[in-house]
Amino acid sequence: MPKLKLDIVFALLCIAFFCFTLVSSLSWDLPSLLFVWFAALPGLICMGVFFARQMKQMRRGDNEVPLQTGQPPDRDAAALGWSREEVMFFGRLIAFLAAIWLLGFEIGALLFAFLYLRFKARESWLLTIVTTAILAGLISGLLGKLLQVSWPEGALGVWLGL
Amino acid sequence: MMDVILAALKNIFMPAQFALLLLAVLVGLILGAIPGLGGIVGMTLLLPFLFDLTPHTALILLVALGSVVNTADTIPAVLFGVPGTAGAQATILDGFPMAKKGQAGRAFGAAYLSSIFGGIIGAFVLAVSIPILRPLVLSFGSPELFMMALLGITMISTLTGRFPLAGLAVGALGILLSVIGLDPQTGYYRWSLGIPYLLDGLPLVPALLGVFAIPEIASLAIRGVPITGEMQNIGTGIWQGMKDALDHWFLVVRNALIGIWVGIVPGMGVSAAVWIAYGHTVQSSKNSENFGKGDVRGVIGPESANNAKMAGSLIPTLAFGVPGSAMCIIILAAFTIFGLVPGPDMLTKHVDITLTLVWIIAIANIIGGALCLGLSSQLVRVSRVRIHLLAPLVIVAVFMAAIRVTGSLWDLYALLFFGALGWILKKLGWARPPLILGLVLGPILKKYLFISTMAYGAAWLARPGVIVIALMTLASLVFSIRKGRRQ
Repeated sequence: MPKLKLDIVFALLCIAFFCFTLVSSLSWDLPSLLFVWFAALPGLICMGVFFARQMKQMRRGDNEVPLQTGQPPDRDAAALGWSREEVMFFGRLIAFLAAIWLLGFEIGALLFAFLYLRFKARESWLLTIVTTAILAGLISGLLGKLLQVSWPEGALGVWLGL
Repeated sequence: MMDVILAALKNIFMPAQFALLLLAVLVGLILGAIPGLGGIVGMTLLLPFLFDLTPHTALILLVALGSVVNTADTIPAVLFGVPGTAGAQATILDGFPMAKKGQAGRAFGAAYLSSIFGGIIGAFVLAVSIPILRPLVLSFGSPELFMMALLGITMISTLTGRFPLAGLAVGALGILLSVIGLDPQTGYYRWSLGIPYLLDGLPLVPALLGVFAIPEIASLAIRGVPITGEMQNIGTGIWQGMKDALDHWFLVVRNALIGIWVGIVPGMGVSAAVWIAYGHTVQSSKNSENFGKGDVRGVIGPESANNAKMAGSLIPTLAFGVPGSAMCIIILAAFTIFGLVPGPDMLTKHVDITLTLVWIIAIANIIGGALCLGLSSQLVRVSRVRIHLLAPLVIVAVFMAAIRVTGSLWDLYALLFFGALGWILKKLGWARPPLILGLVLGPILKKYLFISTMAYGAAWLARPGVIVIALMTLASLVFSIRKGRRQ
């Protein structure tokens, strides 16, 4: 059984999206419907042909040379799953988002920068603290106080009535 | 006309504007000197901070930053053999061997002066193209402008990725995403899923940051530090390098014209410009045996071309709304923010803005080159900065830029959605610019299609201009797909 590839799964998702747009626009007025069909139909055809080619290639078990380019495939691109580093990177971004939601942008950003510098980049304590302090000066001082940029408050502050 | 040209120049030299121009040039040079970041990330980060500025000031910042990135990207290329951006790929071939021979200073002198001249020639051609293009653009109606936008999306979709068919589908995806939100023609909300954030449509800035900036930072953070090689000394010889550039002035001019020509063709990246320029330099030289071993002409050619390309790619952007490069897509996005519509207006009603752009390119290139000549040693230190130290700061900057749009967490959800989408496209080798181009040009395309259909019915399809552009679109499509299959 050939291994499912990311491009095939993503192409399928795109096909599903194009089908959804075509069907859901059927009840629209003519100019709007025309516009959607003008974009979605060629998109569906292109993605359909691309999908069929990739499937044919996968059935042949020809995983080494992509049909259209002849270039050896990128290992990351060929695999359906994400590497540990990729998951960790996007996990950190989601954690950063959660920190902003909970603590607000100013504290969340400083916490993220501090933890990343100290524990991921393994920078020295001194460099970590100095860099975070400069960032604090930039976010709260220059942008917040001087340029009056307002940053979102955290949910925790709202719960605690701060 | 002369008074408009002088007024545009005077506008740039106002103290506040000029200070911003200097700042933008400095940031552009730093971004160019750090391998992996580049002008697109910088311009995208800048975009949300432009809302409160006038269009002139905002464009000074954006275009000045974008114009000089290819000046400083020479530093890591020559000293470490690692290109600062794609625009310095060909410079390595002779620049790095020159540095190994202790002639890095000479390579820098030649590169910076060629960059300055390339930028000035590009700006000059952009200025000259305005009166030439004006009658053609003014003869275009909505049907022709619609077809031109379509041609641009097709060319960028088919030329920028590894898979032309997938690129076209990504362009279509971008156009369809632009439908989300209020339909101005009918007043209905489309695909907004009941989410208040989507009622005004998908915001451009988080999409731009997600598609262009997040994948680059992810790539840097995941793959680690690109610079591992031994650094070569700068040495002396900067003046000798400048003299070399002057001695080969005709080579500088020819390669600048190559850069402009490549810039005009949508979808032809800066890589194409520098490799064509390098090829031309080698082919047109009488004694070519030293190329690849440290010939200064191998530095002069590509460096002149990459700085001229920016002006070239602005020509179709301003005249037809068809961006010649990814950087121009961001400029187009800035136009959208300020309610400027590329096309006839940019050559008539807003010709002052177009002329301001011409001056910015020329002045930014002069200042950028001069700063590089004076600050090479400092910029070398910048180019050696550890990526792991930089990554969290850039991530915070990206989040900060995204949240500036509406100040809600939805900006960040949109950023992460487009970031994941951009990363998948990058992993698969599918083109990313068509997605943003579709998102930017979608509303314009819809407006032109609506006006064309209302004014002419189906007869607009039979207009000669429409047929000619349709044939060009078809030719570009067939050529790209055949080329893709041949490869």
